[in-house]
Amino acid sequence: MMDQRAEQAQEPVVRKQSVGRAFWPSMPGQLLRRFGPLLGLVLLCLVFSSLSSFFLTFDNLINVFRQSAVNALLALGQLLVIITAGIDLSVGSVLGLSCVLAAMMVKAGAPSGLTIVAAIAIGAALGMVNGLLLTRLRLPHPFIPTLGMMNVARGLALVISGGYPISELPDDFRFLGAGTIFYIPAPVVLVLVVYTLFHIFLTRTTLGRDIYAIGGNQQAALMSGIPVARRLTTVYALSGGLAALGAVVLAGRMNSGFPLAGMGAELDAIAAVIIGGASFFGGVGSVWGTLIGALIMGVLRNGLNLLNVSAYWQTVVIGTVIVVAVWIDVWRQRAMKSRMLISK
Amino acid sequence: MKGLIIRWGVVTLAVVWLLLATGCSSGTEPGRKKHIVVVTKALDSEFWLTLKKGAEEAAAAHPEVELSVLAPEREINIDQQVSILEDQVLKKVSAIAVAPAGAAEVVPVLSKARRSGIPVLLVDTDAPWPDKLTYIGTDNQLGGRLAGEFLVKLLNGKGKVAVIRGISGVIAHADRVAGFQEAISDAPGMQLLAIQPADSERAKAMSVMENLLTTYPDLDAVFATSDQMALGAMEAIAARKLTGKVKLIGFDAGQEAVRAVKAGQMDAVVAQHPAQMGKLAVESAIKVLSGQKIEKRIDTGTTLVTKENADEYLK
Amino acid sequence: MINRTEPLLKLSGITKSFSGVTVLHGVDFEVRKGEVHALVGENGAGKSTLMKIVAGIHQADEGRIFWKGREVQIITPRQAFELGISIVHQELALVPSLSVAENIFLGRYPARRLVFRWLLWREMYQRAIKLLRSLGHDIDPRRLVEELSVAEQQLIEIARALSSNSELIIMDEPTSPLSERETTRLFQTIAHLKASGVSIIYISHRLKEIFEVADRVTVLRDGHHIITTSVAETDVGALVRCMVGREIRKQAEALRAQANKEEALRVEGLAARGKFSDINFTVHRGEIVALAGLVGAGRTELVEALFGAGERDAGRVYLNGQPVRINTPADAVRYGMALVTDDRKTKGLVLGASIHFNVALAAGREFARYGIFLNGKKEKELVGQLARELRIKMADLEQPVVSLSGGNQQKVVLAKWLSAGSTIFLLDEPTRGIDVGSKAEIYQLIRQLAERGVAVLFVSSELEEILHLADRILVICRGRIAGELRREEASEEKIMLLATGGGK
Repeated sequence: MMDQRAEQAQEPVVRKQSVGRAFWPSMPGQLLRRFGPLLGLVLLCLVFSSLSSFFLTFDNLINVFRQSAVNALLALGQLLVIITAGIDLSVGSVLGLSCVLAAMMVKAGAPSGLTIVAAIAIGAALGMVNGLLLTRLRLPHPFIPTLGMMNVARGLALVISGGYPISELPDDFRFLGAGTIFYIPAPVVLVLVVYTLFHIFLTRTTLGRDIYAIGGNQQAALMSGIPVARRLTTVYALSGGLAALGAVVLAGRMNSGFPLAGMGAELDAIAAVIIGGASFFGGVGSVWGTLIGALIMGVLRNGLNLLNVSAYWQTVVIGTVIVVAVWIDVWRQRAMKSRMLISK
Repeated sequence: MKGLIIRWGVVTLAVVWLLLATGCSSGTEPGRKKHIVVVTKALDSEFWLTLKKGAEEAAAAHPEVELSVLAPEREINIDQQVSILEDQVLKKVSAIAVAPAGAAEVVPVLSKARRSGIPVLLVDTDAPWPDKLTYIGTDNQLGGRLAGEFLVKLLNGKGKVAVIRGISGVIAHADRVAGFQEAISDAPGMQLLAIQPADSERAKAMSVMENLLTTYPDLDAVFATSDQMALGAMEAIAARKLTGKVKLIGFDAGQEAVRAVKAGQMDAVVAQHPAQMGKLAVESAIKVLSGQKIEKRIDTGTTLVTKENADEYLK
Repeated sequence: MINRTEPLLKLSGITKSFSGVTVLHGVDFEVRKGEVHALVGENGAGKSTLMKIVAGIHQADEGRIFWKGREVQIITPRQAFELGISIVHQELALVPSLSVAENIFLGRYPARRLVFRWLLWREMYQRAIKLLRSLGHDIDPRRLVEELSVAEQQLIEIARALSSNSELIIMDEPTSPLSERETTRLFQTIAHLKASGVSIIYISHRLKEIFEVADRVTVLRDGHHIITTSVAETDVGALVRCMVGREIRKQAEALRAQANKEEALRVEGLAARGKFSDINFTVHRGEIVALAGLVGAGRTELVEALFGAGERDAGRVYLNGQPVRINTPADAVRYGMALVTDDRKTKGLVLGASIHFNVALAAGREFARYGIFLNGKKEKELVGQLARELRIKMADLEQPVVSLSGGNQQKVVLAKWLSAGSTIFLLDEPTRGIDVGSKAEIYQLIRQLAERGVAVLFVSSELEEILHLADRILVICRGRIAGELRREEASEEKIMLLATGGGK
């Protein structure tokens, strides 16, 4: 007698999560999600290497990776947020503010190591404010607190620096952005280390699994006893901290802490996450996918630079890639859904 | 774990292929033509497009030269300009002329260019970097002075003035303000009331001007350190029906500003010569490449455009 | 003019099934002009489905519909509306940010065409005032709907139906959100409508009301038409017997061993404004207690409040004799409570994720190394063992739960709490939407839980299920405990009587 009610209940949107997965996916759709971005990256490299003889050189590939490092760090934080079905618009501005504060600190004579730790702490604190605004003040959507923070942090960066870049930073502070370790640029090594740590965090710890659960179904996560508010606050704090780490890398690379650093960077980070196969609806996304997403954007810009394509056309291309990546994802989901209906 | 093997197999194959291709393709540069690259701060305004045109015209006269003009999306995307420069250094182009979007921020990559033997010329914006071959551009301080002296004459040496300036930290704007201040302080009857930033944005300049007019109802004149800001200020002045009463001077002399001068909505505009910058950048680069010496400082000149000579600057 | 006894609407032989389950078996039903016709039955008897067929939301598989003696097809809600049939829903369908008048004329604003359609505001307000007056009310049509009380909002819905010249208004549980005074007011409005020749189908669980407001009453049970009679010729007891269908029930199960008398959960004076109040009860270890009552009586709200997931203004909760503060579900889980939610798809499961993921959702921390790093091997062992014990039908543990049947999904939810080692189980409609076979398995499981000493409190709308499982039954009516029945003394009639407010 209850079937009637079950029938009337709206069938919720069905998405396959990438959590607790078997290594080799059984359905072609999953295959595409897992390897689609990688395939895209390889194809892109093939195309560019045939168009420019400079593309496939060790120096250039390292170059691409280094140029992608800051975006990769921001995207990693953004990934955590997007897995919880949220969005963090403030990462670019948090980067700007941390960049200025770190540069000022180190110029004032603070030891470089301490400055870097302090910068990350500041970024994490700003992110935590985002999380607290979202969970304690119950602002309706992460869009709101992070949009607020985006403006506040940028404004503070301009006010504190007076609009002037703070340049000529000490070499040891610049190491993470401009140094090398056995011919490999330090930012590349840093990104690989941080990504590995977050891969472990997301797939091998209870916290990571809670984050996927919150994105997959926040209500169910709450009802299963997961402290959703605390987890969300943690996620936004991590996003802020990673943005600050990006700031340290950028300041090192540019030898300057400038208040307009990271302007619009949040959108690049979101794009990398989406190209990397994460879903805006939450619960889906992987660390390596995001790295590939960031590299795809880096390769696109680098390859088009080598071909002397104007920056404006580059934006057109990247915009197209974002839409195509999401379209492939939607198409894949639809294919999976129809498959499931047939098997029923 | 068959899947695992296949997966890593794919990855390994890809890596091997990449390495092989790397080994085969490195160092095969077709080097017959001289490749000169001009990197501007953006290509979204008349100023940069004119500079680009000047460079292209100069290059057209030298068939042995291949020219590329590149720029980030917006002037504030300093890191994007750095990436573009890195990529050009990697390509080992023959020479680079660059308008640094951030004076300090681009220095590391310029040093790298120098180390790989690429001559670097600075255009439009100077940077504190000893290895530059030359700086080709407007003497901004002189331009600011020109504007100040004209205002003093216009107000008969007596009046209250304000400055609307561009993004703090950009040397060009700082120089223009400094030149203007020099001229004003030379005239004892002149009083500088305020210097306010409007980030080179038209809309921002308009609201800054509105606020200035409210705060200082007895304001006699305004100097805006770029055209866009001058045009924004012009709107605010017109809205209060103070056109002609509050004198207005801009900087850059784009077409819109020159038309405003001709129509009497603006009193003068300091003209830079971006076409000249582009031309001289390419020509100087060619000179360097053929072993000739060039000046450490190449002035592209500034002139004051007023109602009398406005027609010469209209296209 | 149609004769007063001529049916305005006549349904004959309506049959409808959803995914193989027949919910209406050849039902006949008619409404006369100017009549208030009550439709009653247990939850799931088929009332809502029948009305949705009339309103064009569902289509009948078999059967014919006559409107004013002419056979019609009602395929869409719009067609029903154009014929003159309106529904006043349980959940009101108004736009809170618009004014009263705009809501009444939503989509049919009085307008004049002059290049564009220009709104005639004054005419709209005047017509709204007239309509509301004809219903015996004075509400300023300029007020925003969000400022109105529920009763007033309901009135706006009725006015909307009238503004489109509806001749038949279906009211689905109209009094459930209303206070007694508001209810009286509504009955006056219904009398107004009746006097002006409008017919009303009145769905209610509150049998006493029917005798105040209706002319005739029809009883449905398990999708069958049981009886249609004039209210003058029947009484509450007779209606309840018709609804339940069995005068006497045989006790299906031998009494279980006497439950342990050790107190597990005690609730004192629990209240949440507008939802439930003055709730007191105790559940002992090893005991199964049912929370019976009509849909909307406050059962789900009560259970969720106990679990820290719902609002709560007052009251104390004791676990094993100790007072506890439970502010979030995380607190509840720490104290060993488990909640199987009424809607497992939106509140119980991460649908797209695997069985493994879902089972480990509540308990992953328990066997994580240093409380942080997942212990995949141990976890998988336990999840696999539970899946076997509960006989979850699946390909493997990594299969997404969305591809499981309802019964197997529910087993995953139960496995989640079993793996967490919970000692107090709150179950909200544990067998909703589950086939008969899995139902029996879930009953078995619940009994096994109790035998292990777990305290079970479950909400159910199915009387049979309650009588089958419960040691003790708490009946809730309008947010209060209306009575408590021991297993030996309980019967479907007694429960229904208490639940419909006819017990005292």
